[in-house]
Amino acid sequence: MNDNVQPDSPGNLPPRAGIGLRAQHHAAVADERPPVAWLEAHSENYFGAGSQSLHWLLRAREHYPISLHGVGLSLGSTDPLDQEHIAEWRRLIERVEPVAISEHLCWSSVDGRHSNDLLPMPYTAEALRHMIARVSQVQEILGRRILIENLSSYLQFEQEEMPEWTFLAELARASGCGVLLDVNNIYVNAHNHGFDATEYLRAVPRAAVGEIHLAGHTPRVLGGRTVLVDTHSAPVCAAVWKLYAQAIAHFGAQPTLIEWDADIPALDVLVAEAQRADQIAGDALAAAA
Amino acid sequence: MLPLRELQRRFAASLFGEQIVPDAGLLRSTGISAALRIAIHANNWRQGYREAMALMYPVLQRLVGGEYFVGLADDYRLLQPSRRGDLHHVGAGFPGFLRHRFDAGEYAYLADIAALEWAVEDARRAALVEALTADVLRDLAPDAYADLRLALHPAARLVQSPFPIRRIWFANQSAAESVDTVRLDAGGDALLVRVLPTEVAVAALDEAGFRFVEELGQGVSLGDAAEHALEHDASFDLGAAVRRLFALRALAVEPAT
Repeated sequence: MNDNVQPDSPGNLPPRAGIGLRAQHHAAVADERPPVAWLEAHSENYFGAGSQSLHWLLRAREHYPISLHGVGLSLGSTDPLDQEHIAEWRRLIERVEPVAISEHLCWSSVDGRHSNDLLPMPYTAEALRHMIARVSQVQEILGRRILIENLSSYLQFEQEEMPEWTFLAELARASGCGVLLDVNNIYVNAHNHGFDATEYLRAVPRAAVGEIHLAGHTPRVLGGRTVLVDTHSAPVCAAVWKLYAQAIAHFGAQPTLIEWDADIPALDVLVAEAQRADQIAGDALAAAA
Repeated sequence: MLPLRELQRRFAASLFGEQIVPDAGLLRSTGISAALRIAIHANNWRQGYREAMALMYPVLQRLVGGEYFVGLADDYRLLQPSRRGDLHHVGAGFPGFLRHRFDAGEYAYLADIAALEWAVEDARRAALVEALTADVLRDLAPDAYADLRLALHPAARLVQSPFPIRRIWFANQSAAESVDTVRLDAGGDALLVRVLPTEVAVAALDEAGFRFVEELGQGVSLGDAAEHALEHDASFDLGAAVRRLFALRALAVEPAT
């Protein structure tokens, strides 16, 4: 049984581990109610007037706080904001009443053509102004704060003017959005671009962090070098657990999601991974005290 | 320095291009070339589209095989690139694409299988409303039945084909290798698809029954739809047809306009 529902305190996910709600586990989550503190659903999977999936999400929300995580808004695009997409998201938010909502520090489309992939922003002053305006616009339409998540990245633009962490911290400060800190992505980017992950953690304002993501990644050899690719298809690796412990010691207990989107394992494997996150966070807090 | 919009356009031109030839100076290329870096995203783009199509068209993928399906999805992507942040939308035109591709040849049935799969996918996103029960008739005087206007449930769809698409669809539902052989000349199907939270019902109707449901869905009154069905087939059994629609939870109160 799950005893973490706090219907009277909207606004914050429980500062413990949750798992992603995926179609193959819809019925099992509703019937077995696995012992995790909250659930995260990909917003786009529940779009539509109603939907078969929504039936299960509404059942799940009777027992768990829900976070709605968007992957397709293309926030950083210079195209106008897709009003239909945001209307769909808004309708879903009204029905599900999630505790938290989030999107990505990215763009996906230009001139109406979509890659349906999370593409990194160039970290320039102009892009920062654009992103601040877009996040503010979305927060205004939805009437609430959103969390913005840092990406995995395999490239950097030549004209970048600031590091990613400065861009993210400034976006949170100027727009009032929260930060969904993906610790795996920080690890991946630190490897791919050669920076110190600890420096990244220290640059993010403590008060802005509202959620943490953890996931597995896959090393690939490209042009004779190893690039870490964010595949969400494997357990969290030891080095990322270590960075997570560091993040918890720095930011305090955080709602933490185990993301697993490809080669999705059995529900009990996900639950065990969430319990491991709780264990590691508990140890990190005890050591920091 | 490139303005953000210009930068996004140049990046996209490379990402979506047949060959990835990024502008010199667009990306830092220390160690790994800019083209290889963009190729990671180009791969995500292609792969994401293929996976979305495979989720919407699993029976078709099984029928043609994974490799051939990837080729179909890639060809279709060039004609129907994604224009939304939600890949569900690209699925709608696939039956038409296959109809054009296979025309009247021996694989013509594939387009009808795709139409059935799209009906299921589309109905999965329909409004969650209660289905009408037989109580609606109990509350009415029998002489008012003829004027009754019923509506199809939003999660119900009608699909018709000269091929036995229902048997093909069922034979390809389980993960196990099917030993069923379906003869393509075994006769056509007139189907009512109803997506429920826990199952997808694909019910076979006869010609008159199909026409009857189709007319109800178009807002024709129960009496007129029954009369037209009887004109088509004198053995049409109105009571049985209506009971079946209730059992399939295929009806809803006509939406107020």
